[in-house]
Amino acid sequence: MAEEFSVIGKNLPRKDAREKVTGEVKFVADIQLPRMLHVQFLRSPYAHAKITKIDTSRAEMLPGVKCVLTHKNTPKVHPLDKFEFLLDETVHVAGEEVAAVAAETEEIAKEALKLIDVEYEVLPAVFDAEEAIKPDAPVVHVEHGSNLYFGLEKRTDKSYGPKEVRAPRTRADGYLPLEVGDVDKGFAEADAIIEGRYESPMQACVSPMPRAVICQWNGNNLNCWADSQVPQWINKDLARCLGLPQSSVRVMNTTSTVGGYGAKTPEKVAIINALIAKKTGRPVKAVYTREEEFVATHHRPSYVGYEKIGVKKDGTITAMHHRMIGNFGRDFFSATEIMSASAAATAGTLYMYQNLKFEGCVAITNIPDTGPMNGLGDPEAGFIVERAVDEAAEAIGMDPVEFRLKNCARYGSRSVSRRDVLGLSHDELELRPDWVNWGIVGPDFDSLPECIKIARDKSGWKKWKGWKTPVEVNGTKRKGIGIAIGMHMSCFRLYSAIIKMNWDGTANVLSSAAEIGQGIRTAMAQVVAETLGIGYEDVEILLGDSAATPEGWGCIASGGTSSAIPAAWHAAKEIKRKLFDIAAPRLGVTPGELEAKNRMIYVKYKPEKCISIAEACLRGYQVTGAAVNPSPDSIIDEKTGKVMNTYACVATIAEVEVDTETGKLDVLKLSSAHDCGRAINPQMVENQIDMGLVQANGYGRSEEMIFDKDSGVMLNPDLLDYKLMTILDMPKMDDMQDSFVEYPSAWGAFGSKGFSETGATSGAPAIANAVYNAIGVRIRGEHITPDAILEALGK
Amino acid sequence: MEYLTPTTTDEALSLLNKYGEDAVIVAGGVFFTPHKEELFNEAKVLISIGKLGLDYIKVDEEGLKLGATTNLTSIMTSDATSKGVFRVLSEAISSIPIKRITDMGTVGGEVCMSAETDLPTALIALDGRVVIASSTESRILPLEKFYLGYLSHVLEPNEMVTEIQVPHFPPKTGAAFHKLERGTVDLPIVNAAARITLGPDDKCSGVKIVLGCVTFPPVIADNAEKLLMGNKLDEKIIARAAEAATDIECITDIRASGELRKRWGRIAVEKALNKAYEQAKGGN
Amino acid sequence: MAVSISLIVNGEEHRVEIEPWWSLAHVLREELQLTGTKIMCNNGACGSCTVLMDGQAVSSCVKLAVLAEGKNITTIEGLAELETGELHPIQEAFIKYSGMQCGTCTPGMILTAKALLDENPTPTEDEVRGALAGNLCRCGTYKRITKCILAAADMMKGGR
Repeated sequence: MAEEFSVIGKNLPRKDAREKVTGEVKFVADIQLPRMLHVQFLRSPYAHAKITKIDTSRAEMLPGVKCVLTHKNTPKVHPLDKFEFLLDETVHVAGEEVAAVAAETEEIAKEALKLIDVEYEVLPAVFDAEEAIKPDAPVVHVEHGSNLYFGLEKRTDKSYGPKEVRAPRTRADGYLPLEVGDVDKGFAEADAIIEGRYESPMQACVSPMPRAVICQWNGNNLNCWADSQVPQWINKDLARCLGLPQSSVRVMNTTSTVGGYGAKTPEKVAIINALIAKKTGRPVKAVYTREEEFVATHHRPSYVGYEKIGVKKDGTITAMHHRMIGNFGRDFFSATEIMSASAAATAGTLYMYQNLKFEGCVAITNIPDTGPMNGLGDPEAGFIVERAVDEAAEAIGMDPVEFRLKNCARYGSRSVSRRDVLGLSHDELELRPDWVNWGIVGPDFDSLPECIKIARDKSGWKKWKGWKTPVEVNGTKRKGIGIAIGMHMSCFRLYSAIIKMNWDGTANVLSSAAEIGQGIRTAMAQVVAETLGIGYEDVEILLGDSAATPEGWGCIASGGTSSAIPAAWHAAKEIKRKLFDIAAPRLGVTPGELEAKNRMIYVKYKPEKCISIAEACLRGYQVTGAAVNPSPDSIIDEKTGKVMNTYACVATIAEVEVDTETGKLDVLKLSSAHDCGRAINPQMVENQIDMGLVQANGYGRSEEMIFDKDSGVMLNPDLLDYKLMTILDMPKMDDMQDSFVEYPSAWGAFGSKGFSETGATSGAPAIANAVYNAIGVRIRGEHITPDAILEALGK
Repeated sequence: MEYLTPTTTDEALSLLNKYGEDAVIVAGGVFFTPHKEELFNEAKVLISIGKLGLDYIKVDEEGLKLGATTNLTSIMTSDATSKGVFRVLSEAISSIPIKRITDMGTVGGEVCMSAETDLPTALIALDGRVVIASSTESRILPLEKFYLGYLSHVLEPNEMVTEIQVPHFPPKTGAAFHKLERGTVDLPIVNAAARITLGPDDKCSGVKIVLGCVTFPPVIADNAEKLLMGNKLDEKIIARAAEAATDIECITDIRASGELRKRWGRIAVEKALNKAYEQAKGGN
Repeated sequence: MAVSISLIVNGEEHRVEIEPWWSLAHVLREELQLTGTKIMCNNGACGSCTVLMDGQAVSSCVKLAVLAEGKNITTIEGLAELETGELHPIQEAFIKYSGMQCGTCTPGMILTAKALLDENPTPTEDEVRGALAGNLCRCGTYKRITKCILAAADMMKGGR
């Protein structure tokens, strides 16, 4: 179908490619303003402590120091609507900000930190989620009163303080429950039941460029350059915390926010910088160190999952019971939403089952904050569920690929919406107008069985020799192969875009999306160019400027292609209508008789009768298009009349080799098939697939945030000891078999959908299941490390 | 902090005499990064020893002589380490997969780090010696006597390492190195180097087994050496020697548990011994 | 400042007043405003800050600036042709074959690739992987980066 299009489906060079290969690209950390001050933070060495004394006088006297902030001289506001104040008298995680120093140079600011005298009263802390929800556990946030959290996603334009708005369906014991049918009956009918406890680990975001924020006042206007995926949120947060109108706070992303993977915000630093900039009358910059990127940002929460699955001999799933406890750390960017996302996709929709019980709870502990990282909720749940499902397939002796093919969701199967889980009524939708009751999985989801088949064929699944039989044995080395499937919401939500045409027929698009590396500037430009009939090189995108770009929630939950691009697409369609209205009388036809291509508007049946798009733009003086996405409620399945969800899916098969002597694991091959709706730019699709797989490998194999079990201090906040995957850890090019299928979505531009978060959902369990095939022992813990393998082998 | 660039060794040594503990020496500058703060915080003077002409690789009748500021890549690719027993030094360096590090790192730096390094394990296995100079005297120490512990060695504040020496070995001597680390690119979790000499009766007439990074400083496994000395060698006796070599307390830290180091240490020693034996048999 | 040194960067000589403990990356970015060199780990562990010194790849975040005096330093800004702005084939390949996502590791990858191809103009995939062993890419673009470098090697065989 790609031949129908001028630019869709083409491997056009990225909009940001040239600036990135020449060094011209400016990230916020690269910006230097005259008379800029530099900020450094003093951080708590204790996980839970009250600051009984803080004396900054010696620091203030150091030449070059211009401002020192502590809880004593900062407003009592809740940035990002978190529990604690901007600078609080009580700290709740090792690494929490205690003071901020602004000085002429970074070095002077660092020296000044050593001159701040602090005394702490150490309080009891808790780091483990299951410990934290016990009745006698030390309470992390005293005003909240409990280590259980059941509130909704925090809004940044209003503060709810400690009394969050509750998800109505929360049980008295803090669990979000969801039930379909009767699981007890389902288990009674099963021929085999498996039960187990699984762990999925915390994963550090490791944003490549440590985040940076610059604030500068211009009269009553605040300019803020922020490395953030959500510029509009930061605008609202700043406005609320500083008591300013949203119109006078300008938050800018620059062209590239760097590698967010879901949770990149400037934290509270924007507010601190704004206060210091006001006090000193100078621009203020803070750049996180790599260590701060670990202890003072948001990461993927760890989960403990209790699974029980009942199956019949023929492979039918009679019952699934998932109980998941998430360790969401001290505070979060979204928690109940992440847990409900797990329920809505992996735990509640991925498989067809007769009966289901899901219980999820959010635990608060004294470890670093968590948030929506790459896949939010589905990698966490997937690492648990897909290992359990593998055991269920084994219990009846069924080929695990066949088991997935039989039971995986497809067009028409029941879809659990997050609203179902959270229990929001229509009235409560005022708070979240874009969450709806999604009823079924749409026709595009017939891609899932096809993805499984493609992965099966490409990987050579025929080599699977059966349960408990490795694919190959070579001395101490054993090869195994395993499969996992996954899905993630491809979030179609409210979003908006504005496009303005120029007199030469080129277009500027304004969107609050964020370029985090996924290529949104490129894909959006391709969509707009295709729609308007102008060149790819004619379209430029301005991203993330809260004074200029219309409302949109940045780039989270695969919302780029699923939300931001459709808004631009609809805005482009409006422009096309306006241009045809201008051109039609000049060509003596009705607008319905016109078409646009190659920068020309022409009469369909008499193409020599035409006028350039440039001329139409000039005649119109200022041709503008604006659009707000329709509500997700409006995505209706034609056949059934039911509301459809927006999901993307994946199947991944991993081939591994385990050395049973050393315990070392080699991932030899990854065959992964993804549903992307429509590939706007195939090379970029491949890159996004690889992103998910590389991060999934690290997630399951080596990325471990190590905390001291007594003090809660993170022991490896650097890239030497927080082990990311290197090129040598990943399979060679031909063994990274990335495939995609195109089942056009009902909501995306030209059928596209955001799919990038699926790779992260299935990679780790595929490897775990392959390791099981190799060594015959299940590893249910957090990581497949040499220690874990050797322990499993009883060595 | 002052920055000084002496152009002769004498000049450098008299500066060390003058500044002692206030001075930090730098050659390549791969101050393996976790230790950056410790190395610089107290220093008042930074002395670059890159221009002292200590960058050489010589082979004479006494053996191999490496100037302290010779970079690891040139040692790895030199003729001197391309064959024979000295090849184990090249093997140890090539286990560091990042060329940027071996281009910048020096043999003197590797030796003085007294932390997670690879080359010193191989040097000790070859009875390596350190030439330590001060403005008043020069002393030569076997490398295993150079270390006191993690990040600590015997250098006095006014001393510096100028040369590393490795003696020649009789024919039918083989040496090998093996390393185990997390993933593919990492500091060594354990490494081992072994040297075996076979006598005219093909029995083991000389052996040295060194285990690195299981504890600091590197350990010479003399109980394992005793098992092999004077005996005919085969896989079984080598396996027993490897077992004996790791009958020690191994450190547990955030990188690896003591049990894993013990296990991997045994595997590394076994592999190094078997390879060294093959080489010794082959007449090298 | 304790030291005055002369640095030759991208063919131009600069005199800078610095402290002896400053890294080359810090001096390039803050003193010379050449922000093309990115700092990701500040620890020598990731390779993003790689620059070339006399043609050799160096981690500029751990290389002391004082030790770079007298050497020819090439940063990412210096790779394209000065007069014409014509890009180096490696840069062209990265654009054409989409060898980047967020862009943080990109300058380091490109310069490491240059050091490789200058020494070994026809590398195998294994040799490319070996050369990039110390360059981390959190966005996981390893596969396409490898493709780009092999494509650049092909382009350069044409004698460019």
